[in-house]
Amino acid sequence: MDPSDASGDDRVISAFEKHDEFVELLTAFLAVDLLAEPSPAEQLAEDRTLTKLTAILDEYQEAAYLLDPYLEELVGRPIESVRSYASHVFQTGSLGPTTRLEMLAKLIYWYTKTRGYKTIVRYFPHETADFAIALGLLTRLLETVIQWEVTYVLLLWISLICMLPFDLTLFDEKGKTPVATTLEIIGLNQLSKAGKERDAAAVLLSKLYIRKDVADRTGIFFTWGSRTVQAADDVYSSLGFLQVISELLKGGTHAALSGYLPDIRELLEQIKAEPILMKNTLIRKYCSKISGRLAVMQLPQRSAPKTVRSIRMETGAQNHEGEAEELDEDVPETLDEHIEELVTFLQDKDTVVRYSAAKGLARISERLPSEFANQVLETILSLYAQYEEAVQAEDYVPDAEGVWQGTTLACAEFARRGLVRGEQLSSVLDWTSKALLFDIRKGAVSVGSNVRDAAAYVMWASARSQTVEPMRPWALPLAQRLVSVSVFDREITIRRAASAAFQENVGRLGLFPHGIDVLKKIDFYAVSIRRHAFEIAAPEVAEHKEYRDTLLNHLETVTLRHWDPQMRVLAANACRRICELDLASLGPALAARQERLLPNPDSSVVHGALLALANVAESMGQTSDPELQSARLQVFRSILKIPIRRLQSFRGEQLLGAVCAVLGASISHAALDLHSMGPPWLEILEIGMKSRDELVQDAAAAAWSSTSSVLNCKQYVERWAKEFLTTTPSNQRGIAKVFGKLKYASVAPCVGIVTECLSAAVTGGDSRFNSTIEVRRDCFIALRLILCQDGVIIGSDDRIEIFRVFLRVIHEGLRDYTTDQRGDVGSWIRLEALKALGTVLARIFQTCTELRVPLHWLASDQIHQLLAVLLKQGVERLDTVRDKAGLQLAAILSAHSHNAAATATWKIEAEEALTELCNDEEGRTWKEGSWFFPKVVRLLLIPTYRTCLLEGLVFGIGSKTESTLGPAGKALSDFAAELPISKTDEYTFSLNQLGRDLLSLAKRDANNNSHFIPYLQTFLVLLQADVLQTLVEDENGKAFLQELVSLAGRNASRIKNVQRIIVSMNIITSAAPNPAITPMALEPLLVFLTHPIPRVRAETAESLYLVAQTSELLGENEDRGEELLLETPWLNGHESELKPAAEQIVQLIREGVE
Amino acid sequence: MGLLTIIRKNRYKEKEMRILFLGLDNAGKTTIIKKINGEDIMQVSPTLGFNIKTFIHGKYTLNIWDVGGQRSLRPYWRNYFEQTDGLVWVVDSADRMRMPDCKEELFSLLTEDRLAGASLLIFANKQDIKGALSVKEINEALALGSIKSHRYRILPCSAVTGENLVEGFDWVVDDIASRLYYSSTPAAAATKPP
Repeated sequence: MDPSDASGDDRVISAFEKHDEFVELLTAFLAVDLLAEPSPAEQLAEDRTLTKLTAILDEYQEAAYLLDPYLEELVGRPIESVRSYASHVFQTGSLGPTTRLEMLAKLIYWYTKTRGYKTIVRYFPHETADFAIALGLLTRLLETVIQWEVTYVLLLWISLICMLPFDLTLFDEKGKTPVATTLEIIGLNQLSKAGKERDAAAVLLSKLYIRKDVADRTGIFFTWGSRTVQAADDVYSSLGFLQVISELLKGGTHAALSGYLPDIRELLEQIKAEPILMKNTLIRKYCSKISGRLAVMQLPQRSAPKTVRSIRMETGAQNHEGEAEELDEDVPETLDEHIEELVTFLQDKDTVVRYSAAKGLARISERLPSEFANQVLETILSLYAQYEEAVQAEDYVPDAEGVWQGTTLACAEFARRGLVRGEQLSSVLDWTSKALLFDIRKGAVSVGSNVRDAAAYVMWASARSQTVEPMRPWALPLAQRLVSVSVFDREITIRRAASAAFQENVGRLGLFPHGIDVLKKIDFYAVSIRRHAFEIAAPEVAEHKEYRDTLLNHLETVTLRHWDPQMRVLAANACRRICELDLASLGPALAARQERLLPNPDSSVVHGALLALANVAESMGQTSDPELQSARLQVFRSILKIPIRRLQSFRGEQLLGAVCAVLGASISHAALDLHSMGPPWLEILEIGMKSRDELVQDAAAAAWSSTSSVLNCKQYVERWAKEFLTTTPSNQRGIAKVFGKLKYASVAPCVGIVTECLSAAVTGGDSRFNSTIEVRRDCFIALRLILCQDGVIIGSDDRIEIFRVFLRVIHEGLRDYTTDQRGDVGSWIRLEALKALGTVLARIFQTCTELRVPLHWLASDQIHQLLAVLLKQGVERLDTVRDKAGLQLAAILSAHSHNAAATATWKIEAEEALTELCNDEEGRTWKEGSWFFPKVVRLLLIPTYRTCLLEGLVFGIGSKTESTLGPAGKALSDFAAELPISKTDEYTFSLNQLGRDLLSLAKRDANNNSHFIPYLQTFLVLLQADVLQTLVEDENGKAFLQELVSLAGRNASRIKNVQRIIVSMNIITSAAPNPAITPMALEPLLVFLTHPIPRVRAETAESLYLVAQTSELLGENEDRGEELLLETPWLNGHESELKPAAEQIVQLIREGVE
Repeated sequence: MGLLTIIRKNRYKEKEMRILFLGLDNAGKTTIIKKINGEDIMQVSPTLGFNIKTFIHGKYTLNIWDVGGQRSLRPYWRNYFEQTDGLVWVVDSADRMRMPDCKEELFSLLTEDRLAGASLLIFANKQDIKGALSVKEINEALALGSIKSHRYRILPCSAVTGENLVEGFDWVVDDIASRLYYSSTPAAAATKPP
């Protein structure tokens, strides 16, 4: 697999490529006066710039360190602006607008979010002098309402300055609160906030209390903390308190804090005793963190055993000092307590808590003599033991997920630090191999992927920290397990993680059998797509004998019984492909094992077993080996083990479908001979056919297909054809699906019955017409499939009648414009009919030499009728339908031109133009309206296709709202504009003719609004493009226009359909300025302006106004007329007011003409 | 946080770099690695598999991938969680005959997207052998002057004597560090606040 296929999240960024763009935006963003309030427009623009800046930063979230070389500029400039704002406030004592300051702070916050506050804050100004101005600004701002980002940034800034070694009392002013106190008050206040300000306040306080000159206040802080925790009503304050402690323990030295360690211990106990606090995940996380840090603090540094050497030490001096003697240092007594506490947190229900507990335990153990460290690991491993029996029974419980994940994660952290030694390595690898299979369902969600991920982490880390010898005994089982998970896990991340662990082991230890070959087959990219992993990577790996059995075993014991049915399907496919490597020995054995599972009460197990049996039987069916045939017969018989009632029970559908698949794959003459000894399989297949589940029906249809090649199904077909008329739509679909799949070569007489049944169901007007759209669609599919069976219909002279019926039915299908609440569902039928049309015509062309009299099958004019209706679909509004029509036409033309006999027999009119439409050099398809319509309208010049094309175009144009000129309308009006008014010698088509053609089609449908309105709309499009108006110069044309206007204005007062009225009205207003038309327009205009429907009146006035603006409609009365059109309250005026106005307008227009 | 994220984050945290050792067969790639690992260099047979070795160099951790002549391992030059930061191209300076091959291979390598941005160190190995081409001659033979896509440096060296091996690593590591771990390099320290 080519890794370059991978894109999207796989893109690796290796430099801050957007630097220039970013700086340009930043410069623009900063080039404003912070002290001024932006205008709304400015604010909008600045907001946009800010959004762009933050969006760029987001792109680098995963590789934020790339920004480092530029941070001085990126952070320095905005923070400098903040500083100058602050010093302005400091000097003037007045606070100006803060809008821009807030935006600026948001940007700075975004840097901290992207790169981490610790890195960003280093670029803040840090001079003692800044202290007063920063604090001054913050104090002023906190008196007002301000965006939290500002507070956040200022708190961070002050925390940085706090680290400078100056005396805080320098800033104290006489008679005012000391600065240290002010800082403490602000900090404590913000510490109870729910948002990010709390984080910054925690940083500030931790920096404050570390100062020597504030050290005496630490006690006060602890008292405050203790009170807060005891009150237990304020989760955020308690959390903030813990954050400060956590920071202090991290940054502080043991000596500075030693006096408070018992206090901290005490507080942790208090928190743990408060259920309200302990409900909060973050509180537990910090407790876990602090507990770990407390313990680490009390332990001496110990250099971990070095497993890595330095390049510089190449004189040969070996580096073994890490293994130096272990000093039995004093391990504090409280240590047990901490470890016990952390082990409890390790089993927490939230991942973050477990994660910090795992890290804490590993860090503590790093500092312990190895004997003690081993004991800690022992304790951790004992957590697994409670599941010993469950694992034996292959029973993982969802609630155990937390414990499994925490324990496994701790093992990984230990392994990474080289803390897994001796005997324990086996325990760790043994348990984590089991953890690698932790995959269960809890309600609707899957549980355990984080356990599996942690297990992969252990194996990855082991490869890094272990040496070859201790790992050698584990190499084979680990390799097998990691490969199985790499190809068969449900989640992409786990497959990749397992693959990464495999890679690390191969590269570092070189112990895995065929490591490199296998690695190539299961690399990061190869396992990314589940189907690829199952169906290609797995069988490839199985070529190596070392992996074959374990892969199959994994499929059989894990994946085939997976809770996700999709996984079972994939597993069955993979089983088949692996068995095919050595079918004779693997196939029958696998089948026998799966057969034994069929009585299992768990439906998932049975389902998986059936799928595997079906797949293997299919493989066996492709050989003639007698032993495999007898194994295949045994598969057929195995169905006996499943009682029919189980298939018909609630949720039995899945099993039913799988049983049908097994039967379809294993049916044979030998199976028929079993008679009463075999399963009641025909009964099952019939139940399957009548299932409500479409997938089951499909499986049953496929099974009937293979059955019909060994059994004469005539009696069934006859019965079903009768049942079809009366049964439920669902059953009808099942029957249609089966009809489509039967092999008619062996049941020849059935063809007539079946096609008669199917075609009647889709023939409008037939008493047997089926009103369910899905049934009709399935009938079309079935008819097409039957037509395509070799030698069944095409070429068999006594079936020519069936063929003709079929062609008629296609015409029926292409006229299906059924709509329901789902929209144009008729398009499903049209799509199938198109497909049928394309397939059948192509087939006739391809096989015409086998036809005795080809033209009897397909007369020339029939082809053209069919192509015309195809083109009609080709200019349809729905992209998918157009596309399908284009593809089918391409197939037809290609079949025609590739067979010389076909080319000689049938001439296709305008074949060249049609071919050109299908073979665009740039690969554009009929979906692309703006390219396609201008080309296709030129086919209107060909009389053969004209009517159908016009119908299609009109339908497409009509489906748009009145004002939208789609690509179809534009193409038609452009084309029309080029036409001569009347026919000439070189032009066989004219604008007159186009108008007349449309008019006569419209009149045909005048009583059906859904057909008629599109014609009106088409006329309107042509009028609005000023195309039809030119006809007035010609006598015939003038007559046409007058006829059009009279058609539009006829019965104007009696039409109910608003859409029709409005289009008619627009036609009349558009045509009205023409002096030849104006007199005819007056009466309808009056009707429209005084119409009972307010919207009609208003739109008429608006339309007239627009027309008057661009024409001479009102002549010299323009001003007066326009005033009336604009001023009259058309929407809600009273009749007494409207009528005179309307009459007056009409009068003005009349005068205008005269 | 999954394993792949952990790998990616750790890489940065522990200042790891991934360096790929490449070159024609028999150029001495494995020997160089064995030499710096303090192993016996007398017993080196053609590398069939690939080896990952970890070294500490200054404050950085180098993961060195010696993939031998295995072209099929190219997918590992870069993936989602690990990218190649440096390339060490080892040249057998005594093998005049294959210089054109060497050049061709090197240049086709440099067009690889997955290696874009990696620092390139060229080891003109086997300088201890009589008649070995000089750096200047190799520079011309390989047309190094036309490399625009990568930052590179060429050094004469000998896996047998150990000449210049450390210097080579110094350069490649510093070059990578200036890109990836800016904040911990001297250049950054000079401009950085306390």
